[in-house]
Amino acid sequence: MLRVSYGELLAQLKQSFEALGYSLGEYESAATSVLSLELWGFGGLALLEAALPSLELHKQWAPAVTYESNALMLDCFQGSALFGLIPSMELIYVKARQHGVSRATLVNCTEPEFMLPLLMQVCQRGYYASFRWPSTEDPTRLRWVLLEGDVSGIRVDSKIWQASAPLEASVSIEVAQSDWDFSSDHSDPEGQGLSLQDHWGNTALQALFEERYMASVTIDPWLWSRLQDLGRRVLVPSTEASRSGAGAD
Amino acid sequence: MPSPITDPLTPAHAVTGAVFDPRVSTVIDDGAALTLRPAAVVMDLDRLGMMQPSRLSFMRTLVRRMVREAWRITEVCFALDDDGYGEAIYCLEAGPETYHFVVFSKPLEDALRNDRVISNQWDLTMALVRGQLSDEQLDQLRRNVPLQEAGRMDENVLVLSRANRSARSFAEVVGRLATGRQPDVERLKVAGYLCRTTAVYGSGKFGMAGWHVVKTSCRSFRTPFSGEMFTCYMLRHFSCRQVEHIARRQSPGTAVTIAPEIERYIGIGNATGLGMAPFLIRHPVLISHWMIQREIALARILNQTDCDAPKRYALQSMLRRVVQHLQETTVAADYQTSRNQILIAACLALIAKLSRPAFCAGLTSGGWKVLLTFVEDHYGPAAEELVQVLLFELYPHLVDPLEESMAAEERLDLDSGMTLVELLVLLETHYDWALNIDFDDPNHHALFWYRSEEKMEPRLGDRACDAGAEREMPLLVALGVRQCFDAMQRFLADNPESLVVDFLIAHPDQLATVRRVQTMCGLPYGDIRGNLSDRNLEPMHLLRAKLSFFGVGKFDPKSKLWVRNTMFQGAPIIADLSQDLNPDHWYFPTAPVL
Repeated sequence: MLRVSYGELLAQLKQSFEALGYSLGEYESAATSVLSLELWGFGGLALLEAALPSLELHKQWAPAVTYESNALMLDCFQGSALFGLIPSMELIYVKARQHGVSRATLVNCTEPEFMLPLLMQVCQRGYYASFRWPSTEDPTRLRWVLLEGDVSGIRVDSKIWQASAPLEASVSIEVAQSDWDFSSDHSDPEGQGLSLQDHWGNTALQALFEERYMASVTIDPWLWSRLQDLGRRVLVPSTEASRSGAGAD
Repeated sequence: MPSPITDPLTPAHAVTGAVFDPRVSTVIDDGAALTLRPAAVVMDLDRLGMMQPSRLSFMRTLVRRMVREAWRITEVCFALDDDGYGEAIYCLEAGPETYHFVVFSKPLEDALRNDRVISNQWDLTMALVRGQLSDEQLDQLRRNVPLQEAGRMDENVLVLSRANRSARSFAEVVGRLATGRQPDVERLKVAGYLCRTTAVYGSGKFGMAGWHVVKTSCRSFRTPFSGEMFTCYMLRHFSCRQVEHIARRQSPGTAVTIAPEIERYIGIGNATGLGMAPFLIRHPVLISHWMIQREIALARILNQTDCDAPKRYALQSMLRRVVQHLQETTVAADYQTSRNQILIAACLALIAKLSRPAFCAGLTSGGWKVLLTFVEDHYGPAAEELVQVLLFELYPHLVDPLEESMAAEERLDLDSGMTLVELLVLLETHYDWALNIDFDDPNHHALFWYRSEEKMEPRLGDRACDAGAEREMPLLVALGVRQCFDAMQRFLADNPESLVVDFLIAHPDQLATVRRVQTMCGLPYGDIRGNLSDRNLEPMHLLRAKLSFFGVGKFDPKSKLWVRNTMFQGAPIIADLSQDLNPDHWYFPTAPVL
């Protein structure tokens, strides 16, 4: 395994995603999403590895968004949540701002975990978010994350629920100004969920991020090499003429 | 501590009260409102090309810290052969922290000695490492540091760099020392260094510790680029020891060491190309932070009313020093020589003015503001920029505390709930400079920036004749603003009540511009006001702006695209660090008189 710094990984991801044809805003956010999930312990690099074949095959388009009042439906056309979802996420936030709460359902979405960093940005504006999606490891279970934020920090609680009814292959998000506004299937009043980790307070979470951030990232050399290969697509072949474009004597 | 620039239209930033006027920036400083220079002046690309190093430059702040905190630097290993090849290790003890500077010296054919980043071999390669140095670590460094970009470091390495011997001075200084003579000061005026660095890497590249790690766990190097600057400082020290060593081996009976006065005048050379320019565009929040500290320093000084005789004499003395420094500066480019001559003339004229009672009376009643206005009106903006940084020297207590505020959390925020009309107004108000550029004129959209396959070296291409425009780097802020503005106007025609989020759902490719505009409207010194694709672009202005923050001197452009300069010339040497000396008496260094 190879060790790289977070800064180095971030720069490489940006370059690789740029090479896939995404615009500046999109590839910067996507790179940050991968890094954030890695920091949170949600396996950002593993998710990226799963998404790469499809990402290399065709560009992901923004989802089709339909909404009525504060209820939104996002169709991702079997695309990864890594790209194209920032405007939609912002719309979910704006609807929550207007109505106190907003509810969104994502269909045909792969690697939905990549929505989490986008939700975190919303929560840092002082909102709550609940995010529920089918577990890829065990389809009979739901994974559920509650994010509570304020302008200075974020708290995360992550749980796994046993599905009580047949699961739909959809991802469900609620964003609210107060956690009282969550609908019943997004709240955990009886604490029946299996907690993945203790509820992290701001201080503990910050300390955890710091600890991980201070260490370097372990990455599969194969994935690193693949990212580098991708990134090389933004480079321009060197010629004698181009050398003069850098001030050659 | 100063508060951020305020702007009621961008509530995402912490604000404290003052009303933002796009023409004049205001900041709350210790409870009082300070008026800063307008961004249209400060961030004008031509003006940036006139910036001078100051007390807030990173080299200056590093040396102050080294002296203030009594850093102790000792030689751990100096294993060089007769020709100066081998390795050396130095230990830095800075309070409770320990670091090591490791340098490898290898033979290099003259034909392979090249300043370009695309070179693969160098006379010297080096690294700055935190903590103690184990044998295993040292072996890893021996294997990887000489490879530079092709090597892999670990997270204990903070900085990686390389350097070449100066063809003009290295051998000549060795020869003089070997025959018992001191280096020729006249020659040092021309090339005031023995070695020249061609790249200094930090911030997590090639497996090294990321900036976040350095900032939070290396107290000594917590301010931007201080680790990189220290590496250059140590290179300067090593280069002096290396020439002495070779001279001693050549002629043990007659060789002498470098006199301290001359060693202080020996700096370290640096060659910088376009690679520095993209940083200025990609880090607008950080750049804004740097510029704001400078502008706050200036505004604080302009609020002073003590333009008394001692301060005026001190200013005259500094101006004489600048004149001597510039007269001792030899540059290759005629236009740079001409600029230096104009500055010399301005300094001499101002020295004379400052001796006239009527002029001084005006200063006594009107303050430094009157002086700067006079200088700009009579001698131009380059002279004004120079006098500003000299005024910094008169008020260290107003300037130096700002050095701790040079780091910034870099984040661009999106306010998707803003109405699109509001955003349009923001663009018209804060980015009028960009909207005034006619991108339909091919000359205004002639150049493109790209990364070469050769070590990803940034280069400039001409759209009319060079390949690679389809892979250009997204550095054209002004063009991005223009395109975003046009798309917004079209969208608003059909959706007059729309919000920013509605626009972004229809135009996700505008996300970066919208986010940048919304953030930078509250940080007006972040965006450089120039068109980086203009056929008449002077990339040198970008380099000069960043290098002035580093604190380099003897700015010597070799073409429009790269420049040689000198670092740490005149700075205290290691032996000085434990002495009770003024760590700041080396701005605009002048040749020693023996």
